[in-house]
Parts: sequence; structure tokens; C-alpha cells
Amino acid sequence: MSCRKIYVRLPESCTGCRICEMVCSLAHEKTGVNPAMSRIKVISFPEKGLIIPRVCRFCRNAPCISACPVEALSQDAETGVIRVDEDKCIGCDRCVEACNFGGINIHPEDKTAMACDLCGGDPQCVKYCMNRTLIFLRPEEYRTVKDRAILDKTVPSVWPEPAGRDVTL
Amino acid sequence: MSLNGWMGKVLRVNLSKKEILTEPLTEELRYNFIGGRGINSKILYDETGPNTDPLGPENRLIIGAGPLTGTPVPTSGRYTVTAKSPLTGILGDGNAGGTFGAELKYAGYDHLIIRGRSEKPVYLLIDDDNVKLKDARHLWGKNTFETEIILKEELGNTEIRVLSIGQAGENMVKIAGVISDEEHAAARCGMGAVMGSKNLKAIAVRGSKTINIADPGRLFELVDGMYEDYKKCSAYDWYTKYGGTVAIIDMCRAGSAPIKNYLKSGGTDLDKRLPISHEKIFEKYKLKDVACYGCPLACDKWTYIDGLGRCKHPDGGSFHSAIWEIYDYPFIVEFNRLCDRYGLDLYSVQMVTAAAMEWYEKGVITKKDTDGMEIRFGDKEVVRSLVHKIAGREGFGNILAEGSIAAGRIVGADPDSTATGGYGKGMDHGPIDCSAIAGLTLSLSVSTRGAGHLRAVAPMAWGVSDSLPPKWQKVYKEAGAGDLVNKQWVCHPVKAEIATYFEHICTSTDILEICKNTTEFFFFYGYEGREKKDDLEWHADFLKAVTGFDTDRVGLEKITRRVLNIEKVYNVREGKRMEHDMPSSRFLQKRKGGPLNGKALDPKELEKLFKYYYKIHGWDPETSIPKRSTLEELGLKYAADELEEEYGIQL
Repeated sequence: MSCRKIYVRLPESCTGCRICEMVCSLAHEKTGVNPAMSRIKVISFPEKGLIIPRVCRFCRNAPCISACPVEALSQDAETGVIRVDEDKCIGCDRCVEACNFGGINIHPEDKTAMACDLCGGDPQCVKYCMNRTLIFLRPEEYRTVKDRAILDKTVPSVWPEPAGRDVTL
Repeated sequence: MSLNGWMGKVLRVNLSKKEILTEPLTEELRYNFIGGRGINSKILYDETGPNTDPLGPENRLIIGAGPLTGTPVPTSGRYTVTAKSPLTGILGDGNAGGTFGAELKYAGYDHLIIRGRSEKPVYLLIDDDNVKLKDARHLWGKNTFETEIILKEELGNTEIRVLSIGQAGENMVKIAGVISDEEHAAARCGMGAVMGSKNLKAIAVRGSKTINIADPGRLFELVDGMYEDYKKCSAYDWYTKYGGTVAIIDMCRAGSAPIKNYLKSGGTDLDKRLPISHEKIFEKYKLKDVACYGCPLACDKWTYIDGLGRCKHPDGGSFHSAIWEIYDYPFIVEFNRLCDRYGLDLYSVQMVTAAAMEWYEKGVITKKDTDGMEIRFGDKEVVRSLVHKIAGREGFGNILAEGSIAAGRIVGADPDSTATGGYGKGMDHGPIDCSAIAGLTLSLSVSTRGAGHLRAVAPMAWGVSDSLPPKWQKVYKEAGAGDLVNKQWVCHPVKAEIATYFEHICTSTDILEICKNTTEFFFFYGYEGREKKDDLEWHADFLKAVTGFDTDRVGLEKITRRVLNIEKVYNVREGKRMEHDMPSSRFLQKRKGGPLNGKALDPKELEKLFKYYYKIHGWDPETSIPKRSTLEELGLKYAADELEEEYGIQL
């Protein structure tokens, strides 16, 4: 059976409140909030009218795993979560470069890789996403979501593409 | 031991000496004034005074975040900029959202105190502990938007947060604000002019530190409760959809559209009749919800206008533009963007330009004074041109740049008939007609930063009876006030009590640096089967969960009174008394049209209402000066001693 993933329902619905980053870091660090330690990252493209949360896609044959030179990464067969062996990880950044989705990052203090672990099955980012931009579904369920967006490599635009950023008054 | 909630550090910058120091945020400040506006005001009280020139190097520019800023407490991402105001000469501050406040916390600082004056334009770069003053000569003359883009490019980091001034601040326009995150303005009281006087163009901040939380379990529990409330509340959907634009509906129902510089009163259905009605705007334009840091309400909107591209949606702006008799959404968006980029206070610009239109119409000024321009109501080109002139202090704009009250004095306008800066202490309030609304007139007038609707925001909705919380409906009844809620012009003392109550809530909101929209939300739009929340109670709950500081409703209320009193003493020290609080006659005029047609405030009754308000606060009802006993009870004996010993004021 396929595992549940965190999907971005509609990229233009993200408001950029970054509560997902805060609760992710608080859930993982236990005693404090620090978005730099968040597994989910919100990227803003103001000129396109877009704000997009980026999180691990739990890929099959995940490029981050094959890019790791010290075999510190492995995939949980049941949940699809990318596990990091912190003793082996050397913080070399290869996995970060290999990921197309910005789904894996280096922890600023531990200097080891960190990726979404689905908070053990109840992802906090999804729980606190007020307007349901983030949803937690199996792929077959996701395909039935009506107003979903198909994310490809190019960043879509809500509004007509601007010719650079107009800085005049 | 590291602190929870607070970062525990204050960054002090002396631009004259190029000196950068950090000092601890003392327990005395934390526990007595909490943060944000509270600590800012206390620092301003300690370090400036009647001898401080607002545009001189000795004035302080203080930027403060709150203990909850940067945490998952809903709507907690705000900060306050405080300085002695060049516009009013008294305490001045501006409050803004966006991400700047949270980033300042992540960089490790609660407050930032800037003094002195740099010889050449500089900007302040804060990268955690690495703080530098850098050359900003290449940024001088650039607008706020461009400044932000250049800094992000130069520093190679799009995640850096920038607060800057535009040309208006550089030219020390007294109605200049500071802008952060492209479109969030700490606009009021001329904070941008203070920054410009220091030759400080911008502050760029990047942080990677952790904000410790005293009791994460309890915090999650409280946030869960709040989310539950949001979801159950029927108003949530339309509130997040329309954002600040909902104010248009309430204001129009109250007949408070400031039509033609307050010369006309609006009808209740204004919001439906006009092309700027929120329904029409949301039908015709594609808007996108955007949020300040940590806000699930997302009342901010981006809009798209052909020829302008992505812009900020000016929520209340469309309603306020009735002041020029201009009803055109794309123009209002453009005006909003123009003010943001020049770094101007949108409200003050609307007030002063509308006043100029009235002066012109009445012949107080002629083409000779206005560089040959015909300044008529309803003319968009005139507004555009005046904004450019104000920001550059060119020609007639140089006069308007002083703010509506000073400009009125310069051109010789009769202050009673044409000065729109009706309310207290030299600052014009936002373009809202509150004549014939006693509660609103009171709470706007007594504001400690000069007229401001955000010092006791909730009474604004008094014009709409169904939005008054049941608790206060009950108080009205018990006071024998009967149907007072629908008689806005009556100066019943219970209105002073309600104003005080909301004043405490707004002060608490400001010292915790959370957003007043949450307060409004909970008060006015509850849902069936749920007691409307008492704000101070949930404020205290969150404060305790985040910082561990053990306080409750009563404790927090005392702190808000302390903050109010230190601000009041600051203004008393500057010579402000009761007469400076009183509104000008424009706001005592009879309503012409609208739901309050023919109604007006009785000046004598209004004075009584003010006196009653001072009495509740433990201030002298004749002068509004705080009594010694009031100050001592709040632990402000030093302020009482200072007033008596140094200023010879008998308490």
C-alpha cells in the first residue's frame, strides 16, 4: 500500500504565515522555536504572487539517498520517511543539492541532514495549516482532491509574468 | 540561564560614535513593562525629555518586538517603533506587522535603541551577533521597495528582512513612516523623519537563534483552543477573505465615511453604492491572501492591477479615499503603493491633501500658493502630484510635509473650520468621521501618541450596535442607560468605562506585540454557545506559557495601566494637559445626512465624559495630570517625584 504524504493542495493558497515552520521546529526541538531548524520551508515569489511551502516528497528511489557518500540516509519501507543516521552523516550537503524540492536540509547546530519525519504520523505543519494549503493524504486520495494543483518544476504564476521587478514609483 | 520568550538582549547603536553595544534586558523592564510598546515607552521616558529635539541626534529611535513575537501564538508577529515625535513633539510610535519583528528576535534581540547621527548615510546590518554599520550612500534617494531589493541582492540573501525609509524620511517629512517587508508600515507619528535625521537609511536583519518556550505543551494546548475557536466561528471565512476591508462595512453603517474632508456625512449603504464596495472589488480583481508572520487570519491581500503589477490591497484605504471624493479602486491601490514606496504615512497624507483641497475651495490658498496647481476635490492627478511634492518637500509640498495642523497654521487656515487634525496633541487621526459618536471621539482623543484609533480600537464598532459584546450590553442596561447603544452621540459615563476597558486590551496587545484583529475577532464575532473571551485572560495565559512569567488578568491589567501612565507622564512633562486632548470643532459639528443625520456631540457633556475618564484613571479631572497616589500604586514613584521636583508640577 502506498504511504501518506504531505501535499501542497494549491500553491496560491499559501499565505506565508510560516506557522508550519514554527510548529515544526518546536515539535522537533522540544524547547524552542527556530525556523532554521524546520523541516518544512516556505519560499516566496512575490513578483508571481506566489508563496510555496517545500517539504520532503518521500520519493521512490530518492536522489538524496543515492547522493549520500557515507550511506547515512535510508528510507523507511512502511512510511516512506527518509531516515538520517546522525552518527554517519558528515553534513556534506550532497543530499541537499540532489533534492529537486528543497525537501532536505542541514540542521544549523547539529550540522547533520534533517528531513520530514511526519512527526510519527501526525504532521504538525498540516495540523496548524489554517487554510488547508498543506494536506496529508495517500497519492490515490490526493488524485481525487478537486482543486489540487499539479506541481511541476517550473513555478506557476497567479498573475501575468512580469518583466522583472518594477522598482519605479 | 537563558530566558524563555524574551531573547534577553538589547542592542544599542550610537551612530555619531559608530559604537555598537549589547546590554541585558533587565528583569525590571521585563516584568514591569513586558515588551514592545511598553518597554519602548519606558526607555523613551528615561532617555529623552522636553529638551530633546525630535530631529536632533539625542532623540532615540527604539524598535521593540514582544515576548510572544516569533512564536506560534496566533497573530504575534508585530513590532513597535518609538521615538519622540517630530510631528507632535510628544511620545510617538508606529506599529507594524510583516516579518521584521520576528527576525529581530531570531537574531537575538528584543529591542534596538539607536541614537546619534551618522555623518554619511549608513545602514545597520544585523546578522545574529555580527552587527555592522555599512555605507548606504548608494541607497540614499532610493525608494523603500528598491532599497529592499538592492540590499537583498547585495547581501545575497532573499530571506534577509529589511526595514527602511524612502525619500520622505530622508527629507525629514514629518508625516514619514518606516516600511518593512516592502509593504508593512510603522507609519504614524513621523518615525521615518527621525530615522532620516539620523542618516540611517535601513536596518537589515537576519537571525538563526532559537526562541525558548517555557511550557511548549501548554502553548500547543492554548493554540489548539484558539484554532478551534477560529474554525467554529462563522465569521472566519469572510473575515479572512475580505481582511481589513470589512471595516468599510461597519464604518459605512455608522455613517463614518469622511466624505469631502468631513463636510458631508455618508449614508449607511455607502459600501454598496460605491464602485469601491468590497463586494465589487473582490468580484472584479484577483486577490491573494497573505499573512504577517505567525498569523492564521491572513487579512493582508495582494492585488493585481494592469499597468502596476502586484500591489498591496489597501484594505481600509478605499473607504478613506472618500475624503477626496475619489472612488476608484486602481487609483487607491496606486496611491497606497506610492505612499509605501516614498515611506509616507498614508493616513496623514490623505488628511493633509484633503485639507489643502478644502483650503483651496474656500480661498484660503490660491494658485499662487500651490505652484499654479488647482487643488480640487475629486482630482486624482492633484493627489498624485501632491504626494510627489510632499515626499520631495518641493514647493507647496514643503508646507504639507509638516502635517495637516502645522500646514494649516502656515497657510493661515481657521483651525476650527478647516484643520482636519481634529484630535489631540497635533496628530491627525485616520480619515474616519467620528463626529456624533461620543465613545469613539473620547478614545481617539485621549490616545497617548496623539489621535489614534488603535489605542482603544474596539469602541470604533460602537456605531454598530450588534457588535457590542453582550457583557457591555448588560453594563449599559445596569447603568440605566437603556438603549444607549444606539444613541452614539449621548455622553453617558459608562462610555468612558468601556473606553478604558478596551484601552487596557489594546495596551496589552501592544506590549505583547500581537495583532488587534484577534481581539476584534473574538469580541465581535463569537459563535453560538461560546462565551466571548476576555482578552486580558488569554493574553496572560499565552504570556505565561511562552515566558513562564506568572501573571493573570489582574496582574496584566496593572501592567497596562503602568504603561499608559508612563506615557501620560511623558506627555505631561511636554506640557500636554486636558485642553490638548479635546477635539476641534470639526468633530462637534452636526451630521448632515447618514444614519446620524442632525446629531452632534454636546461640548459640555463631552467635557464631562473626558473628566470622568480621567477620574477612572486616577488622574486629575481638571488637568488630566496623574495623581501621586496613582503613580505610586503602579510603582512609578520616580515619575511622580520627577514631575514635582524637576518640573514643579503639583500632583
